[in-house]
Amino acid sequence: MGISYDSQQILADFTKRHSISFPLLADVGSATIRRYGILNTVVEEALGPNGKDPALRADLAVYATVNEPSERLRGIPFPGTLIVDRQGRVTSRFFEDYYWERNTTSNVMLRLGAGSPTVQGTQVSTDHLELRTYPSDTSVSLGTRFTLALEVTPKPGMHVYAPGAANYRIINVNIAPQPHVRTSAIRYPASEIYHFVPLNERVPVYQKPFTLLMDVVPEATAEARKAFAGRNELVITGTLDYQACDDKICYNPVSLPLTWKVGMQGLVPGAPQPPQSR
Amino acid sequence: MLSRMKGLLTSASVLSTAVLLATTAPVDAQGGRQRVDVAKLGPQVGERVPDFSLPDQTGRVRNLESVMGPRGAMIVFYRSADW
Repeated sequence: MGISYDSQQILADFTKRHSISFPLLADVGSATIRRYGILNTVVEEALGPNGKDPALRADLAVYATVNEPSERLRGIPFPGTLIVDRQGRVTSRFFEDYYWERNTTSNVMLRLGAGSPTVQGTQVSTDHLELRTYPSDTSVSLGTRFTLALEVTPKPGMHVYAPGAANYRIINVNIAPQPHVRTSAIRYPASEIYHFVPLNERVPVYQKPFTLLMDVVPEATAEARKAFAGRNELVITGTLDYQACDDKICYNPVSLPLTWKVGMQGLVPGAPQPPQSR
Repeated sequence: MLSRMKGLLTSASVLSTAVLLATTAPVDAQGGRQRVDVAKLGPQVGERVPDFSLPDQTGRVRNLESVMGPRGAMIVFYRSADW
């Protein structure tokens, strides 16, 4: 369900236009937003006596607007999502550092381990593992935070190294940097300890199928919009780097080149645009 | 720094001014703006969220219990459906 400061009438109209099937709550006056501790205080400050302070203006551009602040911003939250269990306890949180960025639903589902999206993946087989990799979304806009998923299945008897393994190459994804595209650190799942008897070593590894996730955001700044203008595809290249061993042999490190392609919306003239700065 | 602390300790009016300033314009020890850290705002993982009582788009008053699905709920705070 959603919560915003909008009136019931506005929410009813929005629901009709977008065929919303879940509750949208009208927190007129923002008392609930305030009680949750996520009122956008940067906006409140910008509308107050210190509104012209340059450092505050810099925060405003990140957390609320790149335009002049207006009264309609008063009462908005720092946008975010809380997942709670039946008892109302938070199990996950998703809050953004930039007001124009949002996770896609598929990204959230993947991070919750709640199933994979129905997108076409790339299958790669090496001597040591099977890889299926895909972007969480087939098409994104500027400011869309999607994720690259790498489902790795080590071949029988094989293991690869997890974070914390000393003296071995930890499995890693290296994305080739490109302007106006940010990537997050890799999200690693929990690993298991492998006991290598000949050396009496205990090392964190993956032997069972596991998934690595790495978020990608094409930025929505004015410069990014200029750079991406007219583009209808985002191509990300990188490598999956790992070292695999079995109970006898450690094989040479591997660097597997990979490419992901996602469609880009809203950058071709005439198509719907993301929020604009003036 | 020591003299500033002394001032705070000895003068209640300075203290209340400092508190007032802190609530309207967060400043760090160097006098610059405190960084907003959205990861620290609001209920954290493991904490219970506050209950609420708000009308939904049909006018029905909802609380946390009434929006719960079989596995819990997803609470999305967004800016506006109007602009």
